[in-house]
Amino acid sequence: MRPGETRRLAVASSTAGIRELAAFCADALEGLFDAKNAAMVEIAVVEAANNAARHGYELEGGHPIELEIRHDGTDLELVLRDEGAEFNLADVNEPDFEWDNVKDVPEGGWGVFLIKSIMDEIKYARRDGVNFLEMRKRLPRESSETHSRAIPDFRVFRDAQIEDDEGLRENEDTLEEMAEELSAAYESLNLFYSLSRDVALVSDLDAFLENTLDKMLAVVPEASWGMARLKEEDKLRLHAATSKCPPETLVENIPFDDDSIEGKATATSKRVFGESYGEVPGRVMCLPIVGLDEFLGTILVGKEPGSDLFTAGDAKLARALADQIAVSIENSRLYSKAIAAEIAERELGIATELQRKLILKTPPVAKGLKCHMISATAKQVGGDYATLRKMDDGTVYLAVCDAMGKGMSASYFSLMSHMAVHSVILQQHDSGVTPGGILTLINKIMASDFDLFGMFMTALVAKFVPGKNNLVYASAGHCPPIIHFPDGDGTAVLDTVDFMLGVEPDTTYADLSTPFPKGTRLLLYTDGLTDVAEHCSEETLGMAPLVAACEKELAENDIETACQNIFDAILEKTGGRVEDDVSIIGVERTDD
Amino acid sequence: MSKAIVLKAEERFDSGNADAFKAEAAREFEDGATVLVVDFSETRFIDSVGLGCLVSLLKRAAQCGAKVALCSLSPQVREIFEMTRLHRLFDIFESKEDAVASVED
Repeated sequence: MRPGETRRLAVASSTAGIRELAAFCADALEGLFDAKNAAMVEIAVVEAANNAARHGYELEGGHPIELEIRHDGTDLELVLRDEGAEFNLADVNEPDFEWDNVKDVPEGGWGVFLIKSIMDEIKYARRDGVNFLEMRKRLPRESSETHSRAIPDFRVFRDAQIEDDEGLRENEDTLEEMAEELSAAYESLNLFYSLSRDVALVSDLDAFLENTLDKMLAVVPEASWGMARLKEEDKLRLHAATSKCPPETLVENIPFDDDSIEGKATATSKRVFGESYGEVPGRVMCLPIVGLDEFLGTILVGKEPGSDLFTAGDAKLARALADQIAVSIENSRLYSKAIAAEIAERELGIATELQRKLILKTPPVAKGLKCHMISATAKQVGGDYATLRKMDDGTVYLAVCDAMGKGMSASYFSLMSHMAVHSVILQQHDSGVTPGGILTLINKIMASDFDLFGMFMTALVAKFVPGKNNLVYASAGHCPPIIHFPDGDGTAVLDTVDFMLGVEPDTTYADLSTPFPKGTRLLLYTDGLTDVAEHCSEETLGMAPLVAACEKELAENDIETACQNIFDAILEKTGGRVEDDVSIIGVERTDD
Repeated sequence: MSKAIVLKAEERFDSGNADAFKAEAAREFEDGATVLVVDFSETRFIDSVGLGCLVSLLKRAAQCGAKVALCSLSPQVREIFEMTRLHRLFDIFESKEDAVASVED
């Protein structure tokens, strides 16, 4: 790990999961400590994870345990999170060492003692049902000495030459200050360099193209292969191809004016369908990738011989993916030029802008349902995404997602979740897909992306069917919705149970249902409303102020006013700051 | 007559294999082993579950008049024994040969 770097991994509570966590930890520690100390830190992590699995989850498998490791230049900070029973390590007594007889020796209970002995600092907190164990280990001093080796050590000079001369002593102090300043500047330069390298890695274009093609195969029925070509001078050069591409199709370069299907799509800037790809039989569809003002390349999808025609829906999906590729290519090209901080900041500005545009400003008008949305973005771009989709039969889908972290990768995930949510709904609505089904599919479709980026995402999807007095929803580790029932039935925080997206590709997300009679008001939101520090305090707000505001506002006001007042109430608590993006969807069940 | 048995611990000695190790050692005691030497030459990692397993074996050995010895500890494994003071409890040897020789003396 480099200074400034953060790594995260979530595993399921099990022996195999904990070993995976240990291996991940050992990998992150490589080169930071000697073998013995690295093993010690790994033991502390394993003991902490053992405690979560044993005491938190009572050895029940399949619950999340997440480890985050941060290198802040001088210390390594390791945070272990689990959602099990409360377990404060500070309350655990030291094991008994005063045994005289073998039969009195305990057979366990050293775990917490080991963590405390190995780490320089540990802190435990429980917030919103999650245990946080923060452990700190100072990095060996050798590494900082290596850094300062580039800067002359003025103190040596002092010891050799200066006795009691006041003037010289002043000089020496100034020199020492300068040395410290230089050293600090060197550290921050190093940090910036490592950060910008991380951002550059995330925008690996070919990997992104390959992922996008895989995704396309997952959503377009019968599609079996695909490839992406990008314009380079007067040629279309092959950049990504899926594993089942017939070998004859893998021509490196195709001239622009070729009468191939790609040549036609290039010449017309329109989608082109074909009965074969050159000599290779099977239906194909080719779409141009068009950026803001230029042609960038083509994507092509192929089916096995004897398959059905591509539908308008398939073409629409492919179009949407092509557009997303265009955005990403343009971003990535801008990125490759971004060597200075100023430019990097402009890119993030573009990402923020894109993401803000994605979030729907005016909710759809639906029978039986009144919706209102609020989205507020923090200074830095985050991974929030909220959407509503009304279908022709009046069904309304509501979705709120929150990708971990901030910056470009979180923003990419907003774009991807936008695509995934709408694609799955469009494709699966007619077959009666449920919110749980949507999350299960999205998790599968995006599995490789989550893996590639080391990213997780929480999401909540709800489905409203006109005429029905209940609402079905499913959650992937997302903040629980708050509901207010009419006729004095009060306000409640709804149950949410399942894993975040990206933890386990084979998770099946359960459908939950709540009564939803006329007059019910419901609030979906992201953790920007709860995971924010109170004004002039380090304590985060948590759920309590939000629930209190909901109890009042959802009971007394129409949904639009209620949403605004709830948001204002939270802002009042934080002194007007938005630390993280905030997305709110409020819905009210009205007359059919 | 003493019968020394050497069991090699795996690279990781933790909740993933401690139970299996314990079962194997118990079988050896049943088969008449009087000394069990646990060879740590390939072990890089031990956690409190692994330690608990060894203490349990030691208690079992004491009941039937047998002994448990450890050998070839890596610096990090030795450190864990020292931190938990368990090094006072076990006979620890540099090598497998030393461990076996000491019980045969």
